[in-house]
Amino acid sequence: MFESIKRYSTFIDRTNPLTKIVAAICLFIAVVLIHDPNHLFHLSLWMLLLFLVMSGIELKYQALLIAVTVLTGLVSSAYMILYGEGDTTLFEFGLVHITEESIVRGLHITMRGLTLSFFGSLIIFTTRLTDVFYSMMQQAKVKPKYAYSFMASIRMLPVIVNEFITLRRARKVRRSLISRKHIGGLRGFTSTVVILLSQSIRRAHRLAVAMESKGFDDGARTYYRQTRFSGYDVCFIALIAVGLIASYYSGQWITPFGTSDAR
Amino acid sequence: MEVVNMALQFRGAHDPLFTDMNLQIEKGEKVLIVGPSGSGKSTLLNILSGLMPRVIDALLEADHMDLPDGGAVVFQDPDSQFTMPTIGEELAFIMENNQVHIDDMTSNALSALEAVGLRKPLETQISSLSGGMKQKLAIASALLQKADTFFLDEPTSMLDENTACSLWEMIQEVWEERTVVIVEHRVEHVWFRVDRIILLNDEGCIVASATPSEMLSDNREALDALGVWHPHSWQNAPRFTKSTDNGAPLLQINDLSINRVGSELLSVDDLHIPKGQWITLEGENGSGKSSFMMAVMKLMQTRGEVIFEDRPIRKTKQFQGALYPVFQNPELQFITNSVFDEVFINLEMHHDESAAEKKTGQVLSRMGLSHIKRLHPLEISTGQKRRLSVATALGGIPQIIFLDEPTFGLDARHTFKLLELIHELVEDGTTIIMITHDKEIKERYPSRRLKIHNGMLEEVGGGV
Repeated sequence: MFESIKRYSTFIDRTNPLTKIVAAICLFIAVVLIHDPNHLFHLSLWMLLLFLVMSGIELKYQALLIAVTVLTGLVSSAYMILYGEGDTTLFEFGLVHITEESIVRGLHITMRGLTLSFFGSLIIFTTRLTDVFYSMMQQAKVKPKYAYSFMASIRMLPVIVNEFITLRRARKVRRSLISRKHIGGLRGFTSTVVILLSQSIRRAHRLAVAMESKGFDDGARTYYRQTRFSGYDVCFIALIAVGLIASYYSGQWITPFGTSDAR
Repeated sequence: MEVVNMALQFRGAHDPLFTDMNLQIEKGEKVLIVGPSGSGKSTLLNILSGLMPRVIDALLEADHMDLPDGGAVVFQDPDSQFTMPTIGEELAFIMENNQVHIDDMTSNALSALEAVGLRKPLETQISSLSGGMKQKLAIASALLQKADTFFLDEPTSMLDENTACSLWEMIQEVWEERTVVIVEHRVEHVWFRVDRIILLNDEGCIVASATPSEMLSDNREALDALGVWHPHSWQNAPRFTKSTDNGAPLLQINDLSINRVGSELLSVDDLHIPKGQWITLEGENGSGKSSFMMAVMKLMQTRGEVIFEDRPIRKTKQFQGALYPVFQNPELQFITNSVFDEVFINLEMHHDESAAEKKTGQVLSRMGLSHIKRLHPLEISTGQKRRLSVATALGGIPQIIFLDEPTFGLDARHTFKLLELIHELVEDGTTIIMITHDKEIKERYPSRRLKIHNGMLEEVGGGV
């Protein structure tokens, strides 16, 4: 999907998608359990480094993605920073009450978000969607019936979006001719849903018939793309583990935050 | 393959679609099935290919049925017959189903692509292919199924003239010893390539079965009466005298420029459109014909000026329905739950209720839609949907109607009816701008032809 913006591929591109999913879940739990902002600071830097080096996408997209992630991270923690509780007041104006504790807490949340976003982006840019399903069938023994249905439905999404755009345009034309009640509010919403659904159901039915006519069933089959667990998976897990351990130790030596507990 | 005394009825339907159907197709024979819309051509194909009732539910009875197992089917809609995102994965999907060994997959896929003349890398996204290439891919898929029977369900109905012609040439090259059953209503390029043609009538009965030339010489009346396309159909087309006088200027377009993904798709320097003209707009697939329609309607971002009746237009609503588009897929234009309401809501704003109802009745009967006015707009036939979307335009009394491929998928009967209607509208002073691929329409009817060539809008036979 992202071939057009890839500059190079790394061993993470060849890591099994299932490993990545499991690693993501573990990382999520670990990040939620880390309460020392110093540890988290180093971990988020590690993930940033991994994203920059290993995702292999063009620099301008990396820059854009980092900018957006940092910005949304800061915005999402703004509430906590501005109205937080704490003893050491830095600034107070009306309802706004900024304390040292609230800043630390806010930034802690931001870094959690950044760590997971950088890791998530790394995975997204190094994984082909179809490989996720191939590996689910081969390693996780998901039934082909479900896996291929998902792949087919993903192909349908852009078609539905296009239909929605056309429908909106058609309504824009008719809006000046008819009473607002027909396309506004609940009625407009219902007719939009009915039309889009009827199109999609018919298309899905046609596709289902086409799939069956091509001999698709839930029985034995071979696989065009073989996915397996390999040394790459071990390396990948090692990378994450090294990051977690290293950030724990470096977080004790280099401490940008004065506290070891953000709670 | 053979069926004897076959009867079929859809669950919930009042009457059976087929009764006492008898059909025999020899091994290696190439057969074309034609008939008016609703005659059950596609259903018959689904039965012969074994999809009905195995995959598509229906009540089927027969004294004897001898059908091939595992025939390969090519469907009409290129967008709803592929499962996977890339060419390689799609072809592999079929081989996976047949448990082909992984080492043979790539070479098999490449030779199938070579056979159909689709020279693209296996990693190519299917969504980036044109309609013609998608149908080639569908044929390549059929080849990989190693079937000895091909079932082709209107494979060229969504393609333009040249693409359709070259696709049939290619299909003829690959069909070899196989039995081939084709359902198609655009027959000009396939008619003389087959061994036998079977004609169905409105009731789903076989009325004739003959070689292509005998069908034309002996059954011409039946073909014409049923409104089925055949190579000489256009001899029955309505003839009108072209109006040559130009009415008052209506629409003016200056320095219009349409961009798509960063680069310029189409530019229009200076175009004047007067009242009461029949204009056709032609150009290859993807050259920007539909985008031009959207741009003039101000439904997409463009640079340049659109002036309607001396007023510069910046927003769609400034047209107030005076310029009205009919999209290729009319279903997306419908809003209400009945054919009647669809027209009525345009009129209720301008007339009192009884007058609006009366006028709605008039518009519907003019369009030949009175008998179905209580039905839901989504349950009527393709031809009726197209006419209904023109009818919704008439409620607002448009001065210019934009039609995007209005005759697409219509049989001869409905095409000629629609052309007559368009002629009436032009006579009444409405300007028609019609996007069309149909050579016959382009040559017979318009008072003016526009063409998109190399990203420029040009006048056919004279400068813009």
